Amino acid sequence: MIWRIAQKELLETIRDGRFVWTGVVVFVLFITAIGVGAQRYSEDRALRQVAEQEDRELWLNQGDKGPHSAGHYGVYAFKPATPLAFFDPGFNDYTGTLQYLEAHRENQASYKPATDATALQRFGDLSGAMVLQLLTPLLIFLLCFGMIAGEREDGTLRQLMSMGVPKMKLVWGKAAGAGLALGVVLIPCIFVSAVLAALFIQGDGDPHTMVDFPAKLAVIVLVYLVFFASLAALALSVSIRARSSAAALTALIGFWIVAGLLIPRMSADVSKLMYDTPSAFELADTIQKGREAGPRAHEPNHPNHIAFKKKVLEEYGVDDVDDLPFSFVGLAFQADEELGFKVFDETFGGIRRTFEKQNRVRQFFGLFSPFVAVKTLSSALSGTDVHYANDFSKAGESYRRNMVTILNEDIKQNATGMTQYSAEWGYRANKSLWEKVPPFDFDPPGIQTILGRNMFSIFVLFLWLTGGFGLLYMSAKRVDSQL
Amino acid sequence: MIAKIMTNEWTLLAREWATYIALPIYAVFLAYGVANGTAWKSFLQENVAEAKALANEGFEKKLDKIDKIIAGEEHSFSEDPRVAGPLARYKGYEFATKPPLPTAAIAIGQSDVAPSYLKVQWRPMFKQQNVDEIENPENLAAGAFDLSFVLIYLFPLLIIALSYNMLSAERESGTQVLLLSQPVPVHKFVLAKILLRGGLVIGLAVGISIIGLLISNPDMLAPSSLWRVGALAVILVLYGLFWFGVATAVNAMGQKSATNALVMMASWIFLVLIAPAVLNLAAKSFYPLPSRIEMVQAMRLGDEQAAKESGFERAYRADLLRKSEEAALEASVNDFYLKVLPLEKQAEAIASPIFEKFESRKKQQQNFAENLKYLSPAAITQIAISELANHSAANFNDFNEQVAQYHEEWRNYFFQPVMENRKLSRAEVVNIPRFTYEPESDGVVAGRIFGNVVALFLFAAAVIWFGFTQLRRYSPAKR
Amino acid sequence: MTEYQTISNIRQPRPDEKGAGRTAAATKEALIKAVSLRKDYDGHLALKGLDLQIAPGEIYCLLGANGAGKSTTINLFLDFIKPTSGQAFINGFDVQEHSTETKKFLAYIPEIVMLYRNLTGLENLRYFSGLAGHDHYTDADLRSFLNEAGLPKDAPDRRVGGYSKGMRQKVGIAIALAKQAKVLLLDEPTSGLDPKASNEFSELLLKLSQEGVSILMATHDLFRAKETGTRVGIMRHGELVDDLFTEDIGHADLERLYLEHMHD
Repeated sequence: MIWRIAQKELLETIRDGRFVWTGVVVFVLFITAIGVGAQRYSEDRALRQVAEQEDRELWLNQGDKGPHSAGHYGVYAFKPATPLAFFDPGFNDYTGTLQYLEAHRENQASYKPATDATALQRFGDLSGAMVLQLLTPLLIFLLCFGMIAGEREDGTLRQLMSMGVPKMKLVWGKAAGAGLALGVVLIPCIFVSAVLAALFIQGDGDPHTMVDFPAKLAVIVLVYLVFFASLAALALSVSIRARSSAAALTALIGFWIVAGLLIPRMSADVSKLMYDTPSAFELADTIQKGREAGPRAHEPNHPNHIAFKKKVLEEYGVDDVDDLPFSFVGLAFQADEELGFKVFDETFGGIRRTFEKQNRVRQFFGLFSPFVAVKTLSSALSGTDVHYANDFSKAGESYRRNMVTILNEDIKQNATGMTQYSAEWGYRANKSLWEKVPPFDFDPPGIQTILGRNMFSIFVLFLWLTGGFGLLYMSAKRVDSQL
Repeated sequence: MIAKIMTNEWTLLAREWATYIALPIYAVFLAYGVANGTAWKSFLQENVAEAKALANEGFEKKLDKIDKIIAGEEHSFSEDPRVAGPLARYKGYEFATKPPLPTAAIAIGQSDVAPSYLKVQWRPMFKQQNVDEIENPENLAAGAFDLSFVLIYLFPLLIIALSYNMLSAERESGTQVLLLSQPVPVHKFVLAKILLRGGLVIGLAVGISIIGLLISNPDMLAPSSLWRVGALAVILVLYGLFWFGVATAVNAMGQKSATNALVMMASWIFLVLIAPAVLNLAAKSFYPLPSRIEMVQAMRLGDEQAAKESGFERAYRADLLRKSEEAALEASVNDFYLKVLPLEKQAEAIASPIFEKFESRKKQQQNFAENLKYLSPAAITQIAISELANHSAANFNDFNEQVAQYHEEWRNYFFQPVMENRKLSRAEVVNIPRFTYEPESDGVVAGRIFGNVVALFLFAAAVIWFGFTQLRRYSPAKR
Repeated sequence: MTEYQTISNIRQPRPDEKGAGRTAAATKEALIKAVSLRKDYDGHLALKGLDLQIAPGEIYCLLGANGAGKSTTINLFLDFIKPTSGQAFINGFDVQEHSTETKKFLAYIPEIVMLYRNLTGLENLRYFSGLAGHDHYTDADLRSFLNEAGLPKDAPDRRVGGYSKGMRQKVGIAIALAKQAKVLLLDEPTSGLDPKASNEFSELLLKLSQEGVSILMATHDLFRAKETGTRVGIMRHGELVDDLFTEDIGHADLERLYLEHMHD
């Protein structure tokens, strides 16, 4: 019985010009977005791989120079992308693409693509995720709004009820029909994008970007299925309860506008109100003040430098730095860096924590809008969320810390007895030291980390699913109440 | 006659409970947008002021130190601010700032991703580590709830809600046959309905926007801002009329209300959501910018190549060590600055092709977007409103060009002294050029906006003309 | 726009509105006239060349099955639909060319009179007669029209949302009365009314016809047609197959004739 109803719904839908055209539009947009996304992804990946190699070569072949100068020369870290990023670019336009790792300072990833974009960027990017997150819900609403209300208006519902079709079965049949019709549009989408993906990611055996790829893919498919199912259940319930099909349509479009457009923007405002983002100047000021308290490794005449020297001499019970068993200059550099680590942990770490708090507030709004929850999860699984950008920044920073420590340790060991000037400019290290600094490497978070971080959104999406179907179950009893 | 129909429409609207929900919400959104924009403007103002203050403080401290040194204070070599090299390269800096115009509250535009203040020193602007404003990427991506969002997205939605069934509702409720058996042609009814609803919705949009803006931004009460306010009103009226024109055309087709609603929502989604996003994608695909990765690498490889070609090496003056560490440092630093400037010039020349490509691609991309915006009234309105706020991409390009020019000036000012390896005089430090932002002239901005206004006018005129032409064939009778 | 301008240009020779009905009645010139009026809906002929003239004071009843072309005829006179060929005239004006003009002379009552639910009966009447150009009526005038149409005394100040079908029909009649129309176009106006209301309605029509109003009424009610009508036309498949004076035929004969035509 359910199957028969579903088949009839599918047949009717496919004969409906509105659905066919909307479906074609969704299909074309999706394929275009995926195609362009995949092409851009593979270009970026190629560029990045070349750059990584070049940068490593430059580092290794920088010639003989002082280790601290090498620290100033520094290294660039390039943010890698996981393959799903071409489906959902997430927040990538608003996060930095590369990070300069050098002595003395923690840099943030710079060059947000949005800065270079045209004004059209603010209307959003056409991506596969955008098509699924914003347009497909409309397709679902279009599909479902008249399923019961329309039949009621046409009088066919009276007919059906008089023939003793059980209400539950009717509703489940309709739901199945909606699923089938949606499948007609989405399955070709998935098929074509799989082909495109296979073409463009071909040869990407990079184990880093492919971390847990199959699991992420499976979960992302599941997330969208749950999202669509919740919306379909909601739309069917509205169609049952609405006075007319027009009222059902109005209510659903209203929901789409509020949940899809207004709540995401408002939640951004609320999150900023609750957790203030510190201003860049405040931050620069805090960093400067923190660093100024340090041993001033480059300025031997500075009172801080002298005080630090005195402290070290007392500690080792010697009178002169030349009597120390290591180079005081190297120690001072390292002490300066270590103070910096603390300062950066407080400042940049503080910002990252603020962002996380803000994002939690935004996730909370998922209770009112499944669009928020699905965007969060989709970008997290695609490796394009803020967590991912932070992970990258943190990986860069810990690489930097390791790098300066290795370099300073070398000065400490090998520049014993040298003056400040000699230790900085006279002593030269060579390739063997540069090789001690490993190449930069970043492992994207695995599926468990991602799921752990987004438990709330998972929970919210689950709520929408159970809520949607609960509502549908209760509404199903009222199918015949307005005959 | 039209007045009579409008009065009746007003009575009907006034007896509809939904009116009392929709209009206040809409008014609140508008007010919220104004408030958000105004808060953003003062945020920009504060930051710009802070940046300027920081630069001023830097210069003042240096002058102070110079005065003390001239008065005979003991100082080490590295403490002396007059040494040209370090002053030009890292000790001295200017903040080139773009203070918000009085009209900045109209739209946030590009001002949340494009910096309004840039640190200028010797090094190329591209390499400058900027005190980038810190903002949560999620918040940036969500977009701001500013006035331009309310006007571009929500304003047409309200128009759609009020007008999608202008004719179809009366046909469905059955009053239309009686109406049209009166000696009043159908286009007069439509005209009256549009005038009333348009007066209400467009009037509210223009009224609340402008009154709100003027109250919260009293600095806008100057002729240079007021013409922008006038332009905002014109743009809003035309954009609103465009949507009423769409409503007329859709209603003239004589379909059911539900169909009308679908068609109008589809037009909205297409014109406001899809078309700009597709155009954005097209701009990026046809004129892809060279990746920042390539640029960084070009710069680094340029440095490397230049260093190899010139055999650059930072001199270690072991001979000087016998004197004192201080003297060795001084000699070494001077030596470094003598060599490094030509070297950098060479490196920049090597890397310049990719930067030129970047700039030209960016221009092409922006021109392309500028031309393609004419495909979507929403894009036109968005860009025009950003122009009014001085927050459009073009406005920021202009600012960046001014900064680039100033950067040249900075380098030219210091080049000779560095090459001569000398200290600046006090007067020379006082005379270090400072940056002042010159907003684009009203004429230039008005010229660009005029194009947008004309395009919007044509859009509105076209749909309205089409709608009213279709109305001639309108029939209240069911087939 | 242009259409409207042409109409206002033609306004000048228009006879004085108030005296017009009487003069026309005196000369017995047809107020409603159709000349080979055809309507073709994508191959389906709804009306096959109708010729019809209705003089002042005549009540012409159109009989026929659903889809015979009765409503099409009325819609053509209202210029709600455009004829494929032929012409329709109201008071001597071609309705297609003078769409707005001709509506000054006619009043239309559909099968179900729908009014603004959120307005009172009085407000509805005031609006519609205002649209017809009668701004001069006082509330007392309007109330007397409603009264004349048979609306209960307490009804005019209540919102129409609470009216019965019959009450709305009466407001429709009041609108026609207030308009002082010379031509009445009625599309099954009595279907669904109770016999008493239906009877009152017929009386009103008779009164109006005595004042020289031409009435074209589509109806299924043979009895009412014989009682009220001066002429009866029988339509079938878009054709006027019979056209006779009611005084020439008895009630039973009319029914037999009708059924004969409907047969086959």
